[in-house]
Amino acid sequence: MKKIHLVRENFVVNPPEKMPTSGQKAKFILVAEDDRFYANIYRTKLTREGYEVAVVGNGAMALALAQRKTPDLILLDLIMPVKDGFETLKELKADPNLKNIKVLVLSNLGQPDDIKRAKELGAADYLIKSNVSILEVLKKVKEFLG
Amino acid sequence: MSIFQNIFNSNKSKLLHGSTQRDLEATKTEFISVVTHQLRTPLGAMRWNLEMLLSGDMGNIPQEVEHTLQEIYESNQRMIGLVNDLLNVSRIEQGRVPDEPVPTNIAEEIRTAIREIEVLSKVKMLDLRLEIDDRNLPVVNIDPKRFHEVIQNLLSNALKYSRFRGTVIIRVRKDLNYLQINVMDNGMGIPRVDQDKIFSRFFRASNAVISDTEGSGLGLYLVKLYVEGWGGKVNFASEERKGSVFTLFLPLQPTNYTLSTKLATGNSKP
Repeated sequence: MKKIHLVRENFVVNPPEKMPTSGQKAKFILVAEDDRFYANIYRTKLTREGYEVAVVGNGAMALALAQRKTPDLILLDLIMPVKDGFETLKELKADPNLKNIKVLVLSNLGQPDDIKRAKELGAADYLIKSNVSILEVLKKVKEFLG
Repeated sequence: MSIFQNIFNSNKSKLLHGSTQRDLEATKTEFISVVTHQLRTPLGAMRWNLEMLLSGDMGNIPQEVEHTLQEIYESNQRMIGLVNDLLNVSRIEQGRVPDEPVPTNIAEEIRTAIREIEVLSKVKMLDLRLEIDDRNLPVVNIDPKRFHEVIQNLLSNALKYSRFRGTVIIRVRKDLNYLQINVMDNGMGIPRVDQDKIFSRFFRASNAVISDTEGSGLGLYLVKLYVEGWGGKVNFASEERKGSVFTLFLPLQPTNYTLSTKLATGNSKP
């Protein structure tokens, strides 16, 4: 697979496997996910759907990459090393250049308090990964990206 | 496991020196939250990978392999369901599941639950009957999701433990202050020796374990928690190899179970 190296080696933007039929530029999705199994699934599924995808393993990397290349959508895990999803969400929403990017939280935390906190911090929606199918995730992504 | 060690260490001084009920509850809640997260993570990744395989994302797969993958997928779904059930039980016991009562059409909820299990009923060629007089039924102020869970659990048990071509009857009638709902089957019944434990957490009757390996032993426990939380009652009569009748007495004006559970456990958390 062709990879474009951006910023430094940790940031790899995977180009879409199919180009949008309308001739428009592919939408860019930034995924913050530290679990390699989920990371691989996101990369495979989303590039096949025609999205440009970058997967990073923590919130600090997600913020750094978002500042260099503005994503159309962010998929955000919550429990991550270095900087967790809650802190990342708070910093994203405090940055005037990034605050309008839609953030879909995908976590295996599912207590009502976690969902409430993420939504109060500005998450556009919250899905519990084990409780939804990968097709439901794609449907939600399409819903956000139009 | 380091993550569990972390929870213990962060609460160690409180736990060892003068811990309060609130400290213990907070540690328990955090522990359950972490355990659930750690169990869900590999189960969810397994689920998505299986879905990709089954939908042909990795190329065509032979029919026999597909059949095996489907069985693995079903086991995975059961494990995810079990983790969710465990979390539910723990949250209810701590008074952390919100009871959201709204005016609910009981007859409609029961019919929906029946529709959901019709496929299984047809597979076993059961005579599934609903005896209900809609005209005489009031709208009850109850959480429809929880009521649905209660009916679904009772129906699912009746079907699961029915014999082939058996009969399942759901009878609903209104008394002065209660709705009485009977779920009757002429299936395998519950052995006398197991009857006093049937509402215990994780308990499964000895004959149920042999005939059906899928139950978690949480269904009837949840039914009792919810119904008693609403100020109602659930009881049963059963005879081995003849069948069972479960009877719910649901108050026409149920109490809020979140509050009643809190009062029962002394838990002051929201």
